[in-house]
Amino acid sequence: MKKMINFVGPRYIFIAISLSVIALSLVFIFVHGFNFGVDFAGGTMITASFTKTDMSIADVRSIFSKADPAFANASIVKLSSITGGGTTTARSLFDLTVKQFYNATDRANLNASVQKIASAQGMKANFESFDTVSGYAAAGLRKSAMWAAIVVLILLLIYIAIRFQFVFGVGALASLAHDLIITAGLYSIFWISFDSTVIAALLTLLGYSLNDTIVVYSRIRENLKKMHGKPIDEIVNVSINETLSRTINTSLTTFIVVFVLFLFASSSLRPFAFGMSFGVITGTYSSIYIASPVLIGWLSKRRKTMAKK
Amino acid sequence: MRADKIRAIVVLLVLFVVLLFLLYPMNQNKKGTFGNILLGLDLKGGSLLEYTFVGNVTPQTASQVMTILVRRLDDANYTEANVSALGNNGVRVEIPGIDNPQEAEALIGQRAELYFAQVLDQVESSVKPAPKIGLQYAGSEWLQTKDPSVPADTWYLVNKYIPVGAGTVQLGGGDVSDASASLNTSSGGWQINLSFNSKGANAFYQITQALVGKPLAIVMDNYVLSAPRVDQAIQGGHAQITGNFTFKQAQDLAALIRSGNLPVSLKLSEEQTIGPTLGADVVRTSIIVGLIGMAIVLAYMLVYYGLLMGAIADLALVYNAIFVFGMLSLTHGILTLPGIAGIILTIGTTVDGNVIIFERIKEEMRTGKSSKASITAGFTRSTAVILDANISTLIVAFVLYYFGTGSIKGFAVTLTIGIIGTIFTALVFSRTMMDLVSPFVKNKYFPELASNESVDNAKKGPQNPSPAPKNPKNAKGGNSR
Repeated sequence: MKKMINFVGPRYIFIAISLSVIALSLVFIFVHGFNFGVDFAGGTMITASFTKTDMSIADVRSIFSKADPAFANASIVKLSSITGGGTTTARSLFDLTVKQFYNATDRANLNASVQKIASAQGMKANFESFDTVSGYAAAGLRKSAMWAAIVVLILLLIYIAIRFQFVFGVGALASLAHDLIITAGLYSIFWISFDSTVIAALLTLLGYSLNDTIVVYSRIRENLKKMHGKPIDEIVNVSINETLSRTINTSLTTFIVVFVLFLFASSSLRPFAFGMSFGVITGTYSSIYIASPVLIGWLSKRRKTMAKK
Repeated sequence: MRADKIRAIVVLLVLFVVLLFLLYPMNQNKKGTFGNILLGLDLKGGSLLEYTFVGNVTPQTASQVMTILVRRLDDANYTEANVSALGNNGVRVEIPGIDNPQEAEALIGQRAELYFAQVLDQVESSVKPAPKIGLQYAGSEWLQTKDPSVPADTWYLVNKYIPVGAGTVQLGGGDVSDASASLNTSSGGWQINLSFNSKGANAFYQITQALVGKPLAIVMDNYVLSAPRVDQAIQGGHAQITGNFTFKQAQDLAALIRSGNLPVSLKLSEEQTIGPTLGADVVRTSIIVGLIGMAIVLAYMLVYYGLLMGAIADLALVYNAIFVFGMLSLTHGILTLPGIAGIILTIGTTVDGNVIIFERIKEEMRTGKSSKASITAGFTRSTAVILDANISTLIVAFVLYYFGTGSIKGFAVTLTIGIIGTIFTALVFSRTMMDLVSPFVKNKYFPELASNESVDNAKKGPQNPSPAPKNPKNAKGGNSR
């Protein structure tokens, strides 16, 4: 009646591809590591003042990047302007944060060249403070992230085991692990800046992928009853097909929102938008090609042993 | 019929309450962007406070200070604040969305050294009284009070070494296991409830036993918070500090006591207002981009599901958006980029809820049910999947809230609110709307049917449901009119 796409037939090919991408990701994560942002790795923070009051962040960035290219990606925050401090001229004030660390000589050099560039543009620049800052996001996060992951794992396994069957829980967690490892791997492979906004993107990915998996699972649960006696792989394939238009609509609309963000967002939001966009793709893929096939082997085996009894 | 009406009333009621939260800001001190919603440091900026340590400090102590400050600020609802170390010399604290940093300053700058003390004397004096000489006064000192129920120039002579039997007992903030603010039902105002660990509970029992009929001072950072009279020995390890506090004072004090005392004194060295850390330009483009994305989604739903059902899906999105922002306003939420990520995920789940239901309704129609019966069956059969999918996500959000700090907590909050909104929107709001429009919905697979007619078996047999499309893709376009 309806045309079925055979999703489960070539499942071993897709599992093999996924496993090799996971292996590649793990190698990169452990060998290459991550390009951690300032909020994780720490760096240098400079408070600089300029005797021009209508300076924009872009102006400051251009002056500093001429002195040191590292500042092209610096995080720059405008502070309220100040007067006083020995002079009566009003000054604009900025906080600049970069990943680099500077020793006393480099610091003096940077100061000298910034002052030179600024005076060429007819203003005076001054470093009000020069500090080494710690990675503030790192301290609490690493410890709690591990515990959070363990508790999430256990609770999801329990919930899905109660509402579905134990094996569905295993399948859902396998597909979540698949998505997280591959996405994290991409950050490592392409050396995309890994800052605390990326954590938010990974968490969103987790939520999205889980949602997608549960919808397909729910249909499998229903069809296991309705199509009683049919082979498991057929039941799974029918379920994927029946939920396909829902999968396409939901994934496409969510993808549109995050991909528009990725296309037009400025450079500091790119790492975040990348994780969100890729998350939708892998979250959708894994529900069909990872979470569902996991069930086939397990459920058919159990059916056979039950038949023998 | 009755269930329909109840649903419609609930939908309107929730909308009304949520709009109320959104439109009437309740906290006059903090002015939010919408209602009570504040934008975080990354989106809007806030206050910057820098402190230097008094004296030399080891890296361990410095990180201990940071941990305590993070906990304090979190506890006192300055969530989303950043605390970073400035080498070993001091700390830098950035707090989003506050106009008066003084309140926060009081919270950060306090060492919060809490102890209980015996009151040896009490006088009213404009200057500090002279120390008393004598063996029974050894270790005692004159302290002022912050208790508004006694005259402002009251001085207490207190001694933290409280005589019990032949020796002395001390009891300090280190033995407090928990502290919380609650309403004082007997005298009005807010009070702080303390719970002691077993060592503290024992000490508290001994002290109250020794001081029956006498006042017991509760001292913090060299001020007497209050000095109530002990009526009887107190067992069980619970105490109240009743100082006629305002809610905010009681809450902040409880937070200070819970987070423990700082191992070093802090001196405020800089106070500044800061702009958005992500950059004002970033924020502007992101908002524009977000709106464009939303517009595309709204249009997509209209094109794919037709004017009638598409409009319902779009209204559901708007309804949930109002719900999320209203609840954020109620909880005085702070919106940061991760929070926005949570909202984007919510857009996804809201659309998903409707897509699941609509696809199910289409499936039911293909089996030859009347459009009215298909709608009912579509909702009934989608309930389990919508609940399962969203409750699983909710579990993740709860765990993140419990273990996360700062912006991860913010993500968990918007996600939790959004998911609850999604469930409500899908199962109650959309249902109400669909029931409302069901007379106008046609079963396009069996176009000759009226909205409440279904294919009976006699009709179905010879006719052979040829109108059913071979490929679901042909189902595109408005099936609703």
